[in-house]
Amino acid sequence: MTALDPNIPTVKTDRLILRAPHADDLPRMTAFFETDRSHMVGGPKSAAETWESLIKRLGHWTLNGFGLWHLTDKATGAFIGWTGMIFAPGWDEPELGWTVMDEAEGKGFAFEAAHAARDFAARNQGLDGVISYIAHANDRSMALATRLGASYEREGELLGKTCQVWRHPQVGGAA
Amino acid sequence: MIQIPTISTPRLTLRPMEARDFASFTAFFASDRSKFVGGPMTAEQSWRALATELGHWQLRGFGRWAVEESETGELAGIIGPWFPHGWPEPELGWDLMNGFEGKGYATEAALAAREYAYDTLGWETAISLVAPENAGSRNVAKRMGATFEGTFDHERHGTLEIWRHPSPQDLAAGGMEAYA
Repeated sequence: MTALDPNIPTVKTDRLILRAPHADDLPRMTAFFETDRSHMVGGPKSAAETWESLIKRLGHWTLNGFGLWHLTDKATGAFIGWTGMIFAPGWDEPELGWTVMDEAEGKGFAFEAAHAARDFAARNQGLDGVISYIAHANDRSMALATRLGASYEREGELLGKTCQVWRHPQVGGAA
Repeated sequence: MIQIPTISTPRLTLRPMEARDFASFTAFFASDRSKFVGGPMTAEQSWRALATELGHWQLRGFGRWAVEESETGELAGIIGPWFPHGWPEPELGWDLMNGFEGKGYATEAALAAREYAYDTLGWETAISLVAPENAGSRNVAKRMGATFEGTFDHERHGTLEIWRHPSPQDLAAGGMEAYA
């Protein structure tokens, strides 16, 4: 027997828990990817495609040792989005990504989650001074990247679409 | 935590997939041979396909194995129980990597996978979905004693044939010899 242990750590912030994706997240995730609001993060997707996305997130952890956490709002217990490091063929280097779903927007959750993910990646996953790919029209993500201390570096391309590459500051490696 | 078992057959080893399988995955999914199973694909999509196989084990508790040719250690196929969202019911699936066709490997591994599905997972029945133009895959289903039952329309893969395997009781009554 071989243990398939993606060893997804849990990270807590003041208001959020960054934890492994679960099957219980599927209804909310499916609803999000069915809407046009998901068009900057690979959507819209059918229910079957969202199911595949969830298992790909798990497999990503197994293959890379890092990946996307799902976010739980401590106050309500609700699943509100995801953040973490993404790396697959076609990526220039591992990327910090974040998505907060509609009802949880505007509360600073994306900042809190992405900040914690970036710190964890720098300290525990050997990933510091990372990039974020941001779609040209995604002003909100650019504003958040700026708040995180990142700055525009260059034009880039991801999966056949042009985008911007933003560079995060070094936040300090293994303590 | 999911434990992925390793199973040995006379010529093959069914083992968990690993990052080192990516080269064979990419070669298969870049080739025209993958046209019946969602390909051809870019390397990026192949990597996601590998992640999909691993994540399926975690969500379902079962999935497909990397099937290694025991003598050479090379990846010969991706074979095993498979039940993604949108499937009509759990199936046994088999994809042979490039260069491993015509040796009976799909049948050998799929028989071991079916035994695992029946004896360990407790399945009472199993199907395999076959693209209508995929004569090689249909022959594997026939060799395993499966019979044509009808068709199923998938949102991406289009119309697929449903082949129903003999049940555990059928196999206990007749054994594989009955279907040879």
